[in-house]
Amino acid sequence: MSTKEQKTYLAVGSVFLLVIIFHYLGWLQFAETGVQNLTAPLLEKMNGFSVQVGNDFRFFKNRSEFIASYQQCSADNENNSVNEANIKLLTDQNQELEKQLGYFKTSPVKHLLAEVIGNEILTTEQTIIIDKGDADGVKQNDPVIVGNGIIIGKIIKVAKNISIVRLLNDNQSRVGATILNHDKSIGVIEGGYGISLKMSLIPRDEVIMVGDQVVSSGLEANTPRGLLIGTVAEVENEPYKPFQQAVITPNANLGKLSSVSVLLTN
Amino acid sequence: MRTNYSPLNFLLVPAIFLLQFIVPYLAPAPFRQLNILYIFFTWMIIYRNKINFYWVALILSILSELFSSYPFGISTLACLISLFIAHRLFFVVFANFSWYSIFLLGFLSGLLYKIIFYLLFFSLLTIQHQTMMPLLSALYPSLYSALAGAAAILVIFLISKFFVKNSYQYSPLL
Repeated sequence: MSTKEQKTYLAVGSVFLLVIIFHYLGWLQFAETGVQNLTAPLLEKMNGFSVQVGNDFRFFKNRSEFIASYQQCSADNENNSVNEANIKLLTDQNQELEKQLGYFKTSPVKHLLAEVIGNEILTTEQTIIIDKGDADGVKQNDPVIVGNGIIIGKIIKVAKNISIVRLLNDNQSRVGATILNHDKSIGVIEGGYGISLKMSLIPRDEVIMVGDQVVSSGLEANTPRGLLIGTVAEVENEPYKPFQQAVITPNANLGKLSSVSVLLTN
Repeated sequence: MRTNYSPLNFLLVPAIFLLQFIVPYLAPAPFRQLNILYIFFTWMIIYRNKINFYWVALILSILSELFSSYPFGISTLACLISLFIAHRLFFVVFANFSWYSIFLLGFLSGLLYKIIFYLLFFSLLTIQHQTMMPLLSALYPSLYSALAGAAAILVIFLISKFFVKNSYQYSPLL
C-alpha cells in the first residue's frame, strides 16, 4: 500500500468520523435539512409519475391488448381525454381525503395529513417517506392511516421536515392485533411475506374463520384500538404447534399510497 | 491515466445521486432492487483504479443516508469497507479484466456490502438491547440485489468494451 493510499484512507476515515460526530451532536442539521428540502419536491413528482406509469403498464399485458388500448386511447384523445383523466385524479384524491376526514370527525385523536414523497432507496425494506416531520409535531412510533381508519404502518424515523414510515408488510414490522371473531383472538401482525401479512401467537383453541376482520388491539403504546388492518385469508392450525397463524390480506393497497394521515398519539 | 478536472466532474455527483432515486421509482419491479450508487462505485474501481473514488463514495453515501430509515453512518461505513475489500480483491486477487472476474467482483462486492451492513446494524441492535429480525429474511433479498447489480456491471462492461478500445484504460470524466 503506497503512502498516498494510506494518506487517502486516513483522510477519508477522519472525515467520516467527523461527519458522524457532528451529525449526532446536531451540528449538521442545517445542511441536512437543506438537502432534504431541496430534494423532497423532486421526489414527490417522481413518485407520483411512477405510480401513474405503474397503473398504465398493468393494462398492457399482451401485444393485442396493447394495440387495442392504444387505438382506444387515440380515439379518446380526440374527446379531451387528458382533461377527463385530470378530473378523475382530482376526484379520487378528494374521495380519499373525504374518507380520512370522515374518520377524524368521529375520532378524538389529533392527526396530520401528509403526502407520500418517496420510498426507501438503500435497501429492500418496505418504507415510505412523507413530507411531515418533527417541525409539524410528528414523533417516532406514531401510527399512520389511510381511508376510513385503515392503519398502514408506523413512523420509525423523524427528521425536521420529513419522516420515514415502516409499512405493515415490512419484515421488521410488528403490530398488536385483535381478530373480530367470537373469541376476540389477540396476536401479532408481522410483515415480510410479500403483499400479505401474518398474524401469529394466536391460541390454538380459538376459532378463526376466513373473512374475519382484523383490527389493532390497542395494547401497544401510541396505537389506538380499532384501526382496521385487514381480513383473514387463510388459517394455519397445525396440531403439533402451540399457536395457530392466520394469513391476512391488508385492506389498504400498500404499493399505491399518495396521501396519508399521521395520528399524533405520542 | 490522465486526470481531468473539468466542470462536468462536479455535476457527476448530483447526477448519480438523482439517478439513484429515478431508477427505483420508474423501473419495473425486478429492477427496483438495483443499488445505482454501489454499481457506480464498483464501476469506478474497475475503470479508474484511482484512490479518489473513496471521496465520491463518501459524499454520495452520506447524501443517501439522509433518506434512510437506518441509523446514520451504518450504510456509509459498510460501503467504504466493502469498496476497500473489493478494490483489493480485484487488483490483487483477480488481476484481470475478463467478463467473469467483472461479474464475480460485482456480485461479491454487492453481497459484501449487504453482509457488512446487516452485521453493523445487528451489532447496534444488540448493544441497544432491541429486537432483531431473522438474519436470513434480510440476506435473501440481498442475494438477488447483488446478482442484479453484478449483471448490470457486466452489461456496462460489455457495452463499454464494444465501443471503447482498450477499455481497461478507459478514463471517464473523473
